[in-house]
Amino acid sequence: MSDTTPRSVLVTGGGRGIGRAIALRFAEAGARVFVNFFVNREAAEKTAHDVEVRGGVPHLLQADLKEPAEIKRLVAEIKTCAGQLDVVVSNAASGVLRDGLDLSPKQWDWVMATNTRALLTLAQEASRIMSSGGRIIALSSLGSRRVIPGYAAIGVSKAASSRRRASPSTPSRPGRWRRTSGKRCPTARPRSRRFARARRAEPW
Amino acid sequence: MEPGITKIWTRPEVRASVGKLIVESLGVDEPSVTAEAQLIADLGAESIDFLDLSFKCQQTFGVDLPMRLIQERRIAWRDLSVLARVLESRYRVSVEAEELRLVSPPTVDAVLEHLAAKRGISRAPDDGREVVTTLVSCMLDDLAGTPLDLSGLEVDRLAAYLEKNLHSPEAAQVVMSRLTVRAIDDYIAGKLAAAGRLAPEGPAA
Repeated sequence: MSDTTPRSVLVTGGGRGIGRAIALRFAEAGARVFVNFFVNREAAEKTAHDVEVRGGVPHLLQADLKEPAEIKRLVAEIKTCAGQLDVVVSNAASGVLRDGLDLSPKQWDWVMATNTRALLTLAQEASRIMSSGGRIIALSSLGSRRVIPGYAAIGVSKAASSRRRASPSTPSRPGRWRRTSGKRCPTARPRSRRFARARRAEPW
Repeated sequence: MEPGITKIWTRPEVRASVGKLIVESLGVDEPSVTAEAQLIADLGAESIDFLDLSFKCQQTFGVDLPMRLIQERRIAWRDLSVLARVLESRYRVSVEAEELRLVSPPTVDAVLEHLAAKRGISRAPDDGREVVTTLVSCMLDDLAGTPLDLSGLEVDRLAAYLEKNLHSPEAAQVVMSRLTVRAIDDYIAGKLAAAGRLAPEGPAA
């Protein structure tokens, strides 16, 4: 991040948690940060505010990433606003914590559409406006390689996203795949404990 | 980018749109979406449906439907964090929720017995009932400002369930039964009215 040119960065699920931390780090480097969020507007607005405080230029973009049309709209808005993208951080993920035997088709499809297909659609759309040498970074999870109770769908969705790296972009598209894996940098998040507790409860 | 943020809505428009969003988000048939239909028990809604519904409400009305608040509150109940708060204030002892969760069976009586043995709190005969009553009122206070319609809630029934079992699924059902189509409709209309985006009701037809 020693380059002084302001970068244009999209962080999906950038309103809170790890996405927020990533957005703030880019802000410290003076980037134009597109913070995508799904439903928690309050958290996203706080992140946008903090991006600005730290020297970045924030843009809030609400979108439902499991819908390809929403991703197209998201990227079109970024194009209108900034012209191009230098970095895409595919961080947003959603999940249903259930053992495989209890998962409904709807829950499975939700997780796959949000965590796996969204990365593909996002890469397809974003690569159209990515700068030469741009990067697409996808966050993985310990659950992509290890058996974690309740991670039947989430683990598979993350494993599939990790595997996506094996199909790099064509030479005509400048964006390149870069994967990060929780294997090397696991996060200690209070959320995982919350998940574990939530799992014991009734479906909702 | 901010659809629905300036539109002035009429009451019937809100009702119709809320019904449509529920049909879309939950994948249910339109006739089943009656005003009194409960989203969970009658329409089979689950957490992912609420995410969809919240998103669509923001896009359509520019109004947040804070379903995650209800979920967070419920996690705090299951955690026994709310009970820990009640006990701390009543007995002036510092109590960790983790400690309470290890008490078996999960009843208020057993918890008080545990605290009497370990922390030397002194108990009066009616303490159990009073702790549960305070617990229920804290839980309901926590839910103010959410789309649940808590008016006329059977507080005694709720307390009776919790007295027997602090993790009572029936208690959760009593509260969540108040998440009806009408409650969501009223919540959205209330927020629109507060923002000056609800047209005044015309003369009754």
